[in-house]
Amino acid sequence: MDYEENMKKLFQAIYKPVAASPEFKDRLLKHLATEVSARAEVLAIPLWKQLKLWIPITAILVLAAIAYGIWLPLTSVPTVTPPGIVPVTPPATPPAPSPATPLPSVTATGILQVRVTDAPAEYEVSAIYVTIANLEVHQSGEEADWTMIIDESRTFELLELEGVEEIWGEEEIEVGHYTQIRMDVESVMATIDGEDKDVSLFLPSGKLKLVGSFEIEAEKTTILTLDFDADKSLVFTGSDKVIFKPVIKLIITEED
Amino acid sequence: MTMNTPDDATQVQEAELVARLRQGDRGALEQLYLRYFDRLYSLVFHQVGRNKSVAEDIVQETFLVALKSAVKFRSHSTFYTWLCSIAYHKITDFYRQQVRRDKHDQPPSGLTAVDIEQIAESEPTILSKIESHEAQQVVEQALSRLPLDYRQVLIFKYVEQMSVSEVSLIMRRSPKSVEGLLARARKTLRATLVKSGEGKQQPKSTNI
Repeated sequence: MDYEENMKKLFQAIYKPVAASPEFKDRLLKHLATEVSARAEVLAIPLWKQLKLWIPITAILVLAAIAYGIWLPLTSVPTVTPPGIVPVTPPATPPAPSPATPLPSVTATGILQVRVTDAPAEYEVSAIYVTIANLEVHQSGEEADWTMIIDESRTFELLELEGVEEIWGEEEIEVGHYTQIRMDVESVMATIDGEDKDVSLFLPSGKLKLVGSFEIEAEKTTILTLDFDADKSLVFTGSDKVIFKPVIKLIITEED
Repeated sequence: MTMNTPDDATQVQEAELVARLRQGDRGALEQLYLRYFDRLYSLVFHQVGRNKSVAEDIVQETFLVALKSAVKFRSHSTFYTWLCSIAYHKITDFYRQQVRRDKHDQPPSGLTAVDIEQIAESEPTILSKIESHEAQQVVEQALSRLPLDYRQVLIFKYVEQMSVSEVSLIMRRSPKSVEGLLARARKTLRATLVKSGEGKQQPKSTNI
């Protein structure tokens, strides 16, 4: 048996195929399918209606107008004639334009008025429904793993929760130091201008992860409050798409 | 393990699927995903030190990037090679940003220096030795000590059974550079194994 074959068998014995958890596999497929659908919706909009087309065109036109505005005064150098001296007419002038098409005067000016205003809110958001599938916490230490605290899907209406706290669930867990929290966000839906709309999730790591350390002490209850900032979490993109980019404050308190 | 050389039919089929994916076809997404998910996950899992959470993150990011950049896919490689290329850069980023938690710092007890040396020195007997789980762990540990690009090139070559030209597409190096990298990786692996063996033979009190 040759060297290459031996190496192949050695590596394949060490790096045996490993399967991902079926939940992760399904969840990722669902997430990707949502992204594809969102893309299909954008593609269905005619090109001329898409903002991404008009932004560069507008930028180019504005830059061209600015460049033209700078270039014009440079081409019309004013001539100062001292008293008593007759100005010399430059020789070899190009043929004069026909009277039908008079050249615009290079010294002509216009008025550019700049105004500032505060545009009214473009969208009115009356509800944001966030469905979270589970919540896990991670204990510190090398051997520690994730502990499932809540494994029950629940939908929260964030605007209803303003100034109010709602208990999601609780679990008895091992005493110790915990450093991370993660959640699976199943879906986000918002009522915008009176219409229910699916919202794309912006979770690059797939899960909503929060880093914050807290202690679980014997016979004591530690309360984790996830304070969603609904206003900052909803992002409106130029292409009429709404993205949920969670902004959460983690508040840790201890109950006596 | 299947070979990665794309035949014409596979390439045409993949190109069609990617074209449909660009148009927002969920069926095409599902076909490509189910075809390659398991293999990609396994590859990433091993390359990030068997860290499930990190592997999940990287696999997810890889598919999301592939989805967003589907227009950039050219069918001169397989879709899988292209996915590996994205994952490779994500893994490299991961190692740049984070200190790897190597759970296999210490060699497993009970394995003698002789075992390790035999694995390293006598290539024809490698197979008989790797049947021992402990011996596999020693080789694995030696692999984990290799520089990242050495380990990656060996995995692409011997686990994924990719050709040098495919590895060169993934690592964005010339085929000659990949061949050089492979040769250096093999040599360093052998040297690491021999060194492990020598280290084991030294009395514990000796400072090296």
